[in-house]
Amino acid sequence: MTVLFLMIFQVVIIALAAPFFDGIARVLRARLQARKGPPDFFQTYRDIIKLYKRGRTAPKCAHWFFTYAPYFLYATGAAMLAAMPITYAGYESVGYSDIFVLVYLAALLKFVFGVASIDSGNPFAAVGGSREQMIGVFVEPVLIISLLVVMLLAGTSNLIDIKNMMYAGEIGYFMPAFAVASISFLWAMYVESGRNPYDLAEAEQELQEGLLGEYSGSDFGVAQAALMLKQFAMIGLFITIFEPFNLTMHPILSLILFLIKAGLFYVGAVFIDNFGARYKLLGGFKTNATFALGVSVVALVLYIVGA
Amino acid sequence: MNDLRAKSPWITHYNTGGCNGCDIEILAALGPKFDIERFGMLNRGNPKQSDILLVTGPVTLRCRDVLRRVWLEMPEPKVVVAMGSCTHGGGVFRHLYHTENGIDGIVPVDVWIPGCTPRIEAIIDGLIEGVEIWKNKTKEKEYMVGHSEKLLEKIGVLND
Repeated sequence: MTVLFLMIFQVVIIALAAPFFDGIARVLRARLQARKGPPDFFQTYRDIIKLYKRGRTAPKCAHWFFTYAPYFLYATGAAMLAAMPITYAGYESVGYSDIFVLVYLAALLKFVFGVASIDSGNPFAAVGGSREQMIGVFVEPVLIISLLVVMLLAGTSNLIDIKNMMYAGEIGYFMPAFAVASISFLWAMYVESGRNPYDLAEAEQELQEGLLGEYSGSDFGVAQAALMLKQFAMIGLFITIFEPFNLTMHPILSLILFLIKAGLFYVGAVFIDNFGARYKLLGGFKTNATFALGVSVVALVLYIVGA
Repeated sequence: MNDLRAKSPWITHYNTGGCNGCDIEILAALGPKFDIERFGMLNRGNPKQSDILLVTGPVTLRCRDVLRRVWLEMPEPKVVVAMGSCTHGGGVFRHLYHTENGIDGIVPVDVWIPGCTPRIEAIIDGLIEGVEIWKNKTKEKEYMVGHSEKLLEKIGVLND
């Protein structure tokens, strides 16, 4: 019961805090482009409030799936965040916080996102949806292989058990396979979060925002908040596996420390985001498939040879 | 709550066949020196998600129905800002065979920005005036299905 309460608590706090980090990232991005940017760090809150106060529209050809998809996306993102052992890391093993749960929830979110975009009947959204799935096809093997290495090393897929083994020194960065897997996972996480070299969040229509092209008003606000939650969930997955050191005894302090760490990753991505142009679609796949997949396979080979 | 809302208006810019002078000025307004994101404004390029419709150019006959459709696609509350001499009465294109001589009979306009082309300061001033009007509007009844038909009936335009 306590664990359930702590899960809800951490999801609510992270969902409330996520737009603040997005606001910091927006201001920082504007400053790097020599612009002044939004008036303060709370711009994303204002955007979401405004979207709630607008009317909604739906295309004539859309089905019920289109209408309920934003809420489903939000629920899935929240379920992903609930699976992170942040506040309840000190408890004995909780079955729900499992690597497989997270991987399948991430795949479900991607699937619903793509289907909702195709259901809208907007040609741009359909192209963007299939493009997003294509990126997913190239990222997921990297994610799976690097997580597989961690699971093989730890002998379990439970995140709390993995954390306890890290604390006890049974696995960790002294193992080359673990260290290399962390690099490839970080790469895949960056691609998943939809940032610049692979995806351009500000370029609407055919890229990331185009998927939501037919949404307006509160639907769009919910969908945007859901995407933010998903990004925090992906960052949280990295932090809980590869950097799990936290104040496990105290739920609130550990949540604050987690938010600071995740926010550093979220805001720090702006520095990669802002320099250089976006890859062409196939170029992005190529770097992903050769380099990131190569790194993850190196991690797997290191595990097999027992290094 | 309304003050909070007034700090994040999103803009759709639609050129109805002008000479692109106004559009270049709008691009400058998005850039480092003038940066309308200071007021929380973003150029969205998607009428369904934006609050201000910024129209440039004399309305050519080809553009007329498209402009009307873009206006209909925006859910309430919304504001139309007409920018440049062409939108006011056709400008240098006035009385040509293919223009509509301005935006006035096509969609209801809230703010007019005069000039050919308007200075960027004038654009920002007009947009902020538009935001002041927009702040006092509220969202209408939602027609999730058949939204555009209801609106077409309302303004008395036959659906093609």
